[in-house]
Amino acid sequence: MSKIQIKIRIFLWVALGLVVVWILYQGIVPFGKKSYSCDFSKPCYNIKKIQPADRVKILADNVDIIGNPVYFTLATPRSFNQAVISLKYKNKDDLPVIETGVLKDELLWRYDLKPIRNKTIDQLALAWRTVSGKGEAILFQRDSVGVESEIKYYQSIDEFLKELPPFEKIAVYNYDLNYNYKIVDYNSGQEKKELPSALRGAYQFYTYIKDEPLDFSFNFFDLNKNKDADGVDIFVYHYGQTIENMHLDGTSIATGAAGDIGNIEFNIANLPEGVYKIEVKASDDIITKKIFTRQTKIAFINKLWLTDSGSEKIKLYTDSQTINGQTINPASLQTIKIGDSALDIKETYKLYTADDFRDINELAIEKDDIIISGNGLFSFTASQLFNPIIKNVTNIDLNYEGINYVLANYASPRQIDDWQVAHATLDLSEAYREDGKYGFIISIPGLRADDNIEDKLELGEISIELTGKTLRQKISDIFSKL
Amino acid sequence: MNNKKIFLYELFYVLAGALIIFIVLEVVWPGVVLAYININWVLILWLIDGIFILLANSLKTVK
Repeated sequence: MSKIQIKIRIFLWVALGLVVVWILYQGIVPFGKKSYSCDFSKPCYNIKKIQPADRVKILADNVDIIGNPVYFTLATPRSFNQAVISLKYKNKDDLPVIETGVLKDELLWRYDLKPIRNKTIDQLALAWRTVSGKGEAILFQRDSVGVESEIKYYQSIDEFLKELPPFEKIAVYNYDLNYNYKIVDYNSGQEKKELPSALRGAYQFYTYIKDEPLDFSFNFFDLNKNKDADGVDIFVYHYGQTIENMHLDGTSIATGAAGDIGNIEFNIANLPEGVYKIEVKASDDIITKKIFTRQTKIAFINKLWLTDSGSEKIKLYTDSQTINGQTINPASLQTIKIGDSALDIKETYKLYTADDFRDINELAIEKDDIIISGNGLFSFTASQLFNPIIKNVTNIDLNYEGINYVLANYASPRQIDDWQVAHATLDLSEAYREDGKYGFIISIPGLRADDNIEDKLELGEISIELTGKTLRQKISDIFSKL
Repeated sequence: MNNKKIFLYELFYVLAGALIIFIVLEVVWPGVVLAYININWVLILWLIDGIFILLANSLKTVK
C-alpha cells in the first residue's frame, strides 16, 4: 500500500467519522437546546406539512390557512420540556383570534392552546388602564369614564390577586386564576338520582359539594366496534390537583363482543366545600349507560354525546355562546330548538353551528345519538347548571357582561416589514409524543374553508426553539434512579 | 495504479461504510440521519463511483 493511498484512506475515514459524530451530536442535543424553522420555500424535514389539505393552500413561499384548525407535527430526535413557537404571518382579513398549541392527550384530542393574536386584548390595551406584572402578565382595568359604578383601581397584579373583585366582574385570557368559587344559597342533595340520558365517549363536568360526600356511580358498556382495549379512567380534580383516580378494563379484545364492563362508584367524604371537576376518559366505544349521583349541580364542559338509547325529547340547558350539533346516525337528523332559534342537522357527519347566544338557553332535542358541543357548559336541568369558571375574554361581550377587569398572559404581535411575528411558550413535559413527533395545532376560530368567503391567514414561517435536559442532567438522572 | 484511481477505490470503500453506518443508525434511531443527510444521494454517489471504477478497469483491459 502506497503512502498516498494511506493518506487518502485516513482522510476519508476521518471525514466520515466527523460526519457521524456531528449527526450523533445533533441527535443527542447534549446542551438541551435545539431550533427548527421552516419558511415553506422548500420541504422541511422536522416541521412536517400543515394539514388537512382542504384547509390550506401551499404556495411557493408561504402557506395560506383557509380553514380552522390546522395541524402539523415536529419530528425531534429526543424529548424536550419546553417549546417557544414563533409564527410569522400576514393577517390581512383581521382574524380576531389566532392560537397555537401542542397535543397533550391523544385520546381526547386535547391541545394546550396559547395566544398568538387576540384582537380584544389588543384593543383593551388601547382603551383600558393597564398594569404589567411578571413575564407577560397584564391587568386591564375598565376606564371609569361613562361608567355609573365606582371601579376600584389596583396598582399591581399582586394587589389585585390579594383582593380579588367579585367573580362576575373578572375575565381572563391565558391566565390560570384560582378563584375560591362559592354558591351562596346552595342546597345539598338528599337522595341519589339518575341523569336522564346515556353518554358516549369521554366527557368532563363540574360539580359542587358542601357538607356532603362526593357521591357518584357510573355504569359502563363497551360497544367494541374498534378492536382496541377500551378501558375507562375517571379522574377527580379540585383546584387543578388530582384527588382521586379510578380505572376499569374494557371487554376482551379477543372476542370482540360488546358488553357491560361494570361500575365505578365512589363516595368521598370530608371534602371541603367547593367545585370539583370529574373527567371520564374513554374512547368512543364506551357508553356511560347510567350515572347516579347525590350532587345537585352538574355542568358538562364543552361537549356531550347523547348516545343512541332510544331517548326522545331531551332537554339541555347551556350558557354557551356558540352551539354545535353533529350526528353520525341518519335516524338522528333533526332540528334542535335553541331558545327562539333553531339548528338544522341536515346531514350526517357535518358539524352545524349556531352562535351569538346570550345568557342561559334551553335546547330541545327530539332524538338522541347526537353530539352537542359549544364554548360553555351544559346541564340536563336548569337547576343543575352553574358556571364556576372565570369568564374567558374570547367567549363573551365584555360590555354586556359588565366585566371591569381582565387578567391576561399575552404579548401583542410585533410588526416586521409586512409581516407580524408572535411567539407562544408551550410546555412539552406532558405533551404527547409518538414516533418521535410532537403534534401542534394552529387554531383560528371563525375561519372556515366551506363558507365561500375569501378570508385566510398567510403563514410565512414557523420557528420552534426547544429546551430540554442536558446530557449531564440525563446522566445524573439515570444514576439517581439506580 | 494512479492517484485518481486510488482515490476512486478509497471513496468507494468509505461511501460503502457510510451507507452501512447511516442505515444502521436510521434503524436504531429513526430520523437521526435523514433529518440532515439524504441517504439516496450517498447511494447515488456510491454507484457513480463504482461505475467510474468499472469504466477505468475496462479501459485498461481494452488497451
